[in-house]
Amino acid sequence: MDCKHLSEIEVKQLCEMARDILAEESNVQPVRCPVTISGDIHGQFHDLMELFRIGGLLPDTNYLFLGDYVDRGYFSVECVSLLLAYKVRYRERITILRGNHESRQITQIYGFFDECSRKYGSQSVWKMFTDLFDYLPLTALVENRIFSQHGGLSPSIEKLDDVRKLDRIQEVPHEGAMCDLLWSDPDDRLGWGVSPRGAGYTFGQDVSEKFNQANGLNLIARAHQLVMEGYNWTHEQQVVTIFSAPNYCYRSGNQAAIMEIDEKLGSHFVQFDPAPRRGEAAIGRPPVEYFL
Amino acid sequence: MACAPPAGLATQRAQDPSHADWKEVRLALSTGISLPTYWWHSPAESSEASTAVLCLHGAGDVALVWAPVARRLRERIGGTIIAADLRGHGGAVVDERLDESLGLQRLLPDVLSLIRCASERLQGKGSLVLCGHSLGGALAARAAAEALKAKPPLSVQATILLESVEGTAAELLPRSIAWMQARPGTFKSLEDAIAWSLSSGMLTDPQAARENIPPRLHHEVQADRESWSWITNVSEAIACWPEWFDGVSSLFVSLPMPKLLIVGSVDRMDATLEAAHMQGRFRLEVVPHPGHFIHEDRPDEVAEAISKFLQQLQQQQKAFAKLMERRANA
Repeated sequence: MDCKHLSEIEVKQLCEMARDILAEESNVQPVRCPVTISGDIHGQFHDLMELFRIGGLLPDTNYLFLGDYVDRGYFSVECVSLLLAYKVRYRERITILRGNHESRQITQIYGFFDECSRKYGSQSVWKMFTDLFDYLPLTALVENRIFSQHGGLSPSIEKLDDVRKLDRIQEVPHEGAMCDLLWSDPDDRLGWGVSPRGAGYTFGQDVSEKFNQANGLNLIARAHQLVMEGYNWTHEQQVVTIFSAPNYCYRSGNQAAIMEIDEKLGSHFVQFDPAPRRGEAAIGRPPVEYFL
Repeated sequence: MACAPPAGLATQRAQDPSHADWKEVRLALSTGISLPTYWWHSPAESSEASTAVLCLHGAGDVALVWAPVARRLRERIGGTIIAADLRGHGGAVVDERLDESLGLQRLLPDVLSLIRCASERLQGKGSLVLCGHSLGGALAARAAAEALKAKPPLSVQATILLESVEGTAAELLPRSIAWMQARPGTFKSLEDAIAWSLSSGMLTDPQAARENIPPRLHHEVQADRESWSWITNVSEAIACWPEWFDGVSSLFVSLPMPKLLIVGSVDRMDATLEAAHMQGRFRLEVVPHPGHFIHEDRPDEVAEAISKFLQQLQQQQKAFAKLMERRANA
């Protein structure tokens, strides 16, 4: 765990092995408890190490990661490599879902493409990873009671079987059910709303209640949004947001959290602060001569 | 008729007519000033209401720095693009101290009056989108917030900010002051001024420099000696600089309308914008560029980012209306 990246050939082997495992998984991947649910990581490798230090190491602790492993932080390659290596080694103990950043288009803007090119000198490793991202499951179902996805609900999905029917092995589309699962956000306004993100929808408490009732669920656990305490209940405890990148982008000042679910589906949150790190402080903001 | 062009007033500045694809209209505002405005009208007269984008320039710039983006945008979205010289700039220099002209208490009422005039001239044929670069962006965000409270109400459909980031502007204030104070005040020729803009790194694209530096300058001949100097010497208004961006990031992210931020690098966002973006409260486009004047050096990409935002907005609203209809029928 020295935060050193794998060789290109190792990444190739890792992605091939992971692909064979992920291809077998369902769009609604069943997960058993106890399990620890984690939100966005965004390339903050030292904080991911802190997360495992606090939450417990595999295989002693089971994990469900809700996506957004890459982009923005400086160690996306290391984060996604480690999670895939865990998946290959302990496939029953860790579930890794797809986030909206696990996409060819988004990673070209927000850093993962550049990081891969910088660390490997070509685009090939970025291509290996992003080809693999197509295989990541979209949602998970903890003991038939907690429905987890990166973003939120979709007006095109009423039953969990609607998710099971999706053909997920593709780049994240700009619209439709698969896009919505990775992009939508819960909102204070009732019903469906146009998302300020330009993709997905906003959904109100009435939507969450109806969905949970129709599918026999207790809770929707999702990530996708920064919350200052690291977790945030909304829609009268029908929905919880979990965000696991402390001091996001090294300047947002937020805490991170993980959600621990015990054998009886009881839950509690563990918050954590940024891990001490070396080297990152030296990576400053690029200078602009004039900004007015 | 508050918004009619005042009779007998024509622009005093010489413009190269070869690429003048705009229509210039001087608008008398309720704040007592008249501003030159430049209109890139939609190519085809369509009966359908379309989008109109009102562009606000940054400190020391002029309306016409928007020309390259405006003509591309008109082609892409088919709407009307409007840009105006702000008070103390271009053809809107009035007889008062520059640190008065460039104060928020002057600029913001001007912009609100400008929005009202432009809306009236559009006669409901387009909903207005505000788009501003740097100081212009700060004004766009403030004006959008004020427009919502105005009586009678002013309709603003969306707000677009380019390189307008409170935290970064504050952090780089000393550097900006040093840069501005080191800027030569006069040049012997237009070519010298254009060459300086490129050698100093202000602009990187020679074509942008050739088109956009001349409208920023005025020409003088004294004792047979020609000189070109900046119309707006922003250094004289340093006292105003800190207030321009004060509170703008949190104001922008809480505007209850669609919002787009365009920056030359993600690292130019401040903590407020970074957190709000990760909460999905506005859209972000990155047009990779080392300089601050991305709309001048990268007009293709900036026009593309703006039109993508406006088109997706339309698609989203259509898809949403369809969804609501489907649900009402079900």
